[in-house]
Amino acid sequence: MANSKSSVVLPFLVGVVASLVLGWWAFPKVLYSQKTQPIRFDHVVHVEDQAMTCDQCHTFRENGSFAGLPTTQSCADCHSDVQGEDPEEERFVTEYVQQGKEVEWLVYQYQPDNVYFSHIAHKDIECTKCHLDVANMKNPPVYYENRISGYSKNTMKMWECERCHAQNGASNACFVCHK
Amino acid sequence: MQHMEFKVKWGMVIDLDKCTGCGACSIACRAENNIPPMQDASNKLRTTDWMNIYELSNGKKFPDLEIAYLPRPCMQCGNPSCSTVCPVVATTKDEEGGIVSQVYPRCIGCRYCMAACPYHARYFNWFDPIWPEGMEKTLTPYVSARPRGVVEKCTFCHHRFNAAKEQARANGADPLDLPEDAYIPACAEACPTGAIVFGNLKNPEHRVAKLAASKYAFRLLARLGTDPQVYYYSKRDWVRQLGDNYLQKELKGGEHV
Amino acid sequence: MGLDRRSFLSLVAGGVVGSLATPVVWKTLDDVSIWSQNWPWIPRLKYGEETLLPSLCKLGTDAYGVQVKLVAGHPVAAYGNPEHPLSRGGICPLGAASVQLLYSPSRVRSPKKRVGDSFEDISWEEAEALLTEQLKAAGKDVALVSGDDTGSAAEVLAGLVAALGSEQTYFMPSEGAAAAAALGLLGGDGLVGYDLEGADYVLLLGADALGAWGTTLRNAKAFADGRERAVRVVYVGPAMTATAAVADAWIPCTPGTEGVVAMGLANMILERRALSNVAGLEQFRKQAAGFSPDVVATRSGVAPETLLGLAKELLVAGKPLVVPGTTAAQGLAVSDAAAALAVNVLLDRINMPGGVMVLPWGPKVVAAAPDKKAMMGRDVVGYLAAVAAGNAPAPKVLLVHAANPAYALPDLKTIQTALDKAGFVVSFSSFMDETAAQADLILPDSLTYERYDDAYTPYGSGQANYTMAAPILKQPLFATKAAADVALGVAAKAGVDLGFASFEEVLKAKAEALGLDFEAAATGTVWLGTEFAVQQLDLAKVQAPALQESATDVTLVPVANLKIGSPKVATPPFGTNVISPRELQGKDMVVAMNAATASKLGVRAGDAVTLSGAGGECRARVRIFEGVVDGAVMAPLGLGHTAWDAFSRGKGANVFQILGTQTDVAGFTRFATAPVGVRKA
Repeated sequence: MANSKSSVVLPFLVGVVASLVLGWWAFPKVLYSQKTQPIRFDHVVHVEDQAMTCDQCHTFRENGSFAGLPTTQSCADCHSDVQGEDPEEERFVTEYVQQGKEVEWLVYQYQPDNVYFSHIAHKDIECTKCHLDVANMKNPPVYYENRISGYSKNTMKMWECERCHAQNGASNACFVCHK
Repeated sequence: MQHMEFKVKWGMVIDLDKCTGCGACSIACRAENNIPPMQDASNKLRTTDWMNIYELSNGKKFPDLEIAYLPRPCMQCGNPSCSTVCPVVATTKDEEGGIVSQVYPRCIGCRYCMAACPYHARYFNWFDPIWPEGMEKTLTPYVSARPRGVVEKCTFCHHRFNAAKEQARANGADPLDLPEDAYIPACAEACPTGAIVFGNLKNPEHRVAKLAASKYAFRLLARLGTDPQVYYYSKRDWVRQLGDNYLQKELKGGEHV
Repeated sequence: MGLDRRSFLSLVAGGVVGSLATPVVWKTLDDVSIWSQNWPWIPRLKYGEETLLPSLCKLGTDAYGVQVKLVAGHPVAAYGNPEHPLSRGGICPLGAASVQLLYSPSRVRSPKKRVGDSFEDISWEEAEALLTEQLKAAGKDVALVSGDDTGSAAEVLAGLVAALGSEQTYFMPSEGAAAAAALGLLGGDGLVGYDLEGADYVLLLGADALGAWGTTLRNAKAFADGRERAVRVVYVGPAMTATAAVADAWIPCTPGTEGVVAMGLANMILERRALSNVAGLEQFRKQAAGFSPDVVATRSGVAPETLLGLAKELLVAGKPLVVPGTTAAQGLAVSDAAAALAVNVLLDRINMPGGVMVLPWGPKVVAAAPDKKAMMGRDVVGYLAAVAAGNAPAPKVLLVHAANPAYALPDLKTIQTALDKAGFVVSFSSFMDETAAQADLILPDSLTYERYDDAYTPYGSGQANYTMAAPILKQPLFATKAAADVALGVAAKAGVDLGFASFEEVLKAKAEALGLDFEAAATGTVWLGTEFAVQQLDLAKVQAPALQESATDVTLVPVANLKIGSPKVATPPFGTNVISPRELQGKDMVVAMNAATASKLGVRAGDAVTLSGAGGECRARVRIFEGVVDGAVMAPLGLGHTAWDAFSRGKGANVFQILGTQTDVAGFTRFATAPVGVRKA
């Protein structure tokens, strides 16, 4: 009874600290599940050893649309047979190239269907401004999937697009980005 | 809401002396924009018909009857009634070109815009989209699938505008200065008689601008002040006279209609 | 020290305050709102490379080139083909819905054998073995009914039936057959075509050219072009159809009297123009004299001044063209077609620019097959009626290909009797249509996008043309096979050599016969013919339409409407919305009549009525529409399906049920209009 004041302040502070820790550290750990790509694609082997450039696989089509992640067919241009010693590559050839199947890549920047993004309109911007710098990675980064919304942790939200548009004088009209 | 002026004004002129009411435009629109098929479409208060076709008549008795068919997309009004009332700004007219946007994830389904639109051009998704098994594989990648509870309307196939801009960029041309045939909605493309003409109303070279300036062109309910971007064209007086609510004395004086 | 209530509350308060400074609340709300917009049953879009491949649409009675858009190899939409002369970029309602039809719930996904009241799925081996066995047992008592009168698949099937010793190979009724028969009556030989693009005055005697008649899309493009050149288009018929709505004039006439109007015009032309070099002119003049203006007025309702006005317009025009037809797009009387042809002869329009073009029949590559001329000259309605009445032997095996005779033929009760009498009914239908639903064996044909297909000169074309389509999809979606391939396989098993191992080989031969490169054809090149067979027409052979007063009070005018369907295809899933309350109200078909007719019949707008005809009865609702002549009732064709799927089943009534038939003066069956009784339901 004599220390009734401190038995209010201390629990309060404990509560604040605990919730801060829970909110900033535990919550993200729980919220995101970790996934790996179906094939452990090694960018370094392609970029350094094979001296390939980004646009050899991530191309613009003739009509200006962006091919995005290459199809199994375009990988098969080189990988119709096993090229190296990596067991992942062998798995790719047997399970995907030879079966004519597409790899279900987990897209870090996956946007919902109601979003329209035109890569060619942004072709003068560095890829890494929005995308993870995978070109230097031997292994694809961990894919963090939000357990509630189903989207990737790295999926850009609208405010990032809007900010850059506003800073660069591009239109922020709704239909520029929505469909 | 601010009234914005755009350099380009996408518009249509629909020739009612050519429309036979065949419905190809309406079906092409459904296929292009992923509007789900309805098993029972007899209750027209529950259907979604971005392009709807009305039958007009001169009201005379046999054998003096004349009829016309009027396809009605969204008018993409210069002064939209819909976007001014939307409580969440799910619909706006703020993009170069003047197409009134409709953003589905922001729409709360209050249907205030539907009440406001004098052309009944907006439709509510009363039901979740049900695609017969396998038919969902025919969804185009151009327009998202809308859940129940949101309002939708014709967008002048806005995705084709985006595609035309991408093509222009790929060609090294200015995406905001598109040639006349670079961007045309599915309905205009499908129409067997070519009754639907589409283009930039502000470009005097475009066919649509020439037709819209004709004395035979008129707009629906123009006196409401909506400034629609869809014009209709008919050489028949009675068709033009149905475009608005005219008093008898206005028609008798041989007015502009 | 324990945690008392105050401390506990303070802890909680601290927790809440702290939480507000963390992303937990905001992020959870945001994520939950996204979760609520991503229900798993809302379909997700698939992205990928877009390609555009050429193909054909043959869902109606027309055949024209389309382009199919594929995304990552999956077809998503069909568009017109700007390069194709019969499309010129346009598409019809059925074509626009054609991609989704690939997944129609009524698609037959594997061969089926009848077991009692239902079907059992069987393998293709078993199905083909079963058909072979039946054919061997049937000998020459085999018959074929095909709706594919432009394609080579029908030629293969007819070849099989003919090689087995049977002459019973029929096409479904078409106006092209009636027109060709009329031309034959006059001593001509060939397919009848119309150079609509070249004419400067087009008189449509019943032909709903912008509705569902002939080469509908190309008609529409020609019409639109004609507007720029002040081409005058006049429609003569009993109802204000889509064509009449946009034509320069609608001349109402009593249903079924367009041929009488033609003879009346012929009479007036003969009075005003001296003609020479027309064989049989004097005999024809005598016939035409029976169609004086007063006689024509009494019979058809077209006043003498109006008739004279039309005759003068025809005489003054540089390139007039008279086109016979019906609103039903089938059932045209040969005598009516002959009368219209005669008017064209009088105006010297045969094989002239802007006139009637006589086109070659086209090459036949399956030697055993009957000539197309012979097959088109046979009357399937007459045959089935004879089978029903016992006047012709019932076929032991009946092959039904690209056709739905259990739905789309007049005098349906008789047709049904014939189908019941047929021993083993085999349907090649891709969909569970009314005929397939009662068949003994279904060998589902792949749809055009899933196989090779072709079309030679659809009726109405102004010049001979040939379009081939290669498969759009790498393989059929379901266990279906091209009917022609099935026929060739079964032929081989039954010991019949048709000369080809596959349908692709047949098409290669057809291309070669036309002097067309197969690869070019398979990738969308269209062959255009430039030959028009010189004709020696003899007007003495014209058999004029009968003039006797019919005793009917009310006549039914069925109108074909592509958005509702065609004789081959019911309302596609994307078509239901376009059907308006003017055609269907709730589940009732809507029929239109003018106020005077309604008053005479004692019915009012919205009343439910029973329509009764020679073939049966059906229910409808009344709509008052002043675009119908007195004493006529306009009804939409294509409703009243009893098979198919929920998109088309159980809506409205099948007008074919009440249509009766009449034998025309030239031996063919006419059924485009019929007497009907109307009474309140």
